[in-house]
Amino acid sequence: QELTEAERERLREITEERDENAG
Amino acid sequence: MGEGREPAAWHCRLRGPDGVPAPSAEGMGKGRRAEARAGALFEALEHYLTGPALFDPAAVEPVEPARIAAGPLRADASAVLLDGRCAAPLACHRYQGPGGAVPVPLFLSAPWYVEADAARLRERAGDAHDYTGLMRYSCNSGSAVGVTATEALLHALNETIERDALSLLLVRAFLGTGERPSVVDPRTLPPELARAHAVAGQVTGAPVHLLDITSDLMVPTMLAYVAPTPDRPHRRGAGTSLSPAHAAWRALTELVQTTVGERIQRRGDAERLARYPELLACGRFDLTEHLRAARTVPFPEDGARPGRPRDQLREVAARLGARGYTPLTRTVAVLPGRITAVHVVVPGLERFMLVVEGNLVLPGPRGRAAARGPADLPRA
Repeated sequence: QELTEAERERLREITEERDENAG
Repeated sequence: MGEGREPAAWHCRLRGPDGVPAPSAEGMGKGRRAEARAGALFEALEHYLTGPALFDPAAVEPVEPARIAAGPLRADASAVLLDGRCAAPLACHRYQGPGGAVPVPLFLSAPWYVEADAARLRERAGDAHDYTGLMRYSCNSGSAVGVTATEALLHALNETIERDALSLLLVRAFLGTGERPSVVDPRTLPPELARAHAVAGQVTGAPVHLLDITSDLMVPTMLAYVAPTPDRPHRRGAGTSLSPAHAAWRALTELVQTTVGERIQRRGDAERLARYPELLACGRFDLTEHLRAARTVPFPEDGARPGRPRDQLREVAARLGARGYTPLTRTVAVLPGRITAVHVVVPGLERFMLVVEGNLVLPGPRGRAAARGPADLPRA
């Protein structure tokens, strides 16, 4: 299974938001 | 199954007049003996009636991806894949919403339709869409059978709310900044639930945590959870009902059912998500650390008795409506005697729980909002 480019971008946004909130 | 103790688990397989097992016609049931037997029969019936055997290609209509992505399903996590990569129309059924008919793609509710060996079925429906990505988001959640349409719709809505609550727990715990789950103090359980909790512990051979995972939708939802070990994945059962006691009963009995059913039910493998560590953590669903910081809460008291299915359905729909969510419904089949199979979609509610079975999926807008923090989720 592989994420599409659009999904990879969305996952990146989710993890960046989490890291910002954690910081 | 389950060596005759209660709560029990039963398995049912339906055969045709020729003695041959009917396609997809298998189910499991849980609870007291009679309840579990009836549940297994009804689930087998549900899988048959909503499965490939009764598929009518003439009942679907082709709808362009852009039209679906612009409609109520734009809030579904799978909409990210309706971005024009494949312009071929998707086979859709018409669902009923308050504003009239809404086309809903068959792939959302029918994994059998997107299997690699189902190309001929799709051909018969004139469906040339590429489901390579969308099949990851396909799940039969929201299907139900009842002795009346009202009862079936109530079961389907409760299941949809249950799956959404489980999805939000996963998102908050593993894609957010952390989750302090609410764990019910087992000493506060009413006698029948205390017995079910004890049996679940015996059957699983491990500590059973009963989590109150009720979401902003305010329909009581419980999760009976056993943490994974190096030798086996987590175990779980979930339930949703206007009655917290019934929600807990369904969760605990489902945990018993799934544990004794492990030898006949195939599970997806979350380890297949290893290329995406954040999603692998979701798939493993290991709450061990979260449980150390959990809040211990008393078992919530039942308020007024939930009442007849018609009244419950009205109340559950009202609670969804209060948060801006509107069910879309389809009657799949009606048998002589009024037994009815339905499918329900509530656009915007999450189905991210697919990740625990090894499906590579992302949360949609609601899940992303939940990941941002403990504040109330916005209305739809």
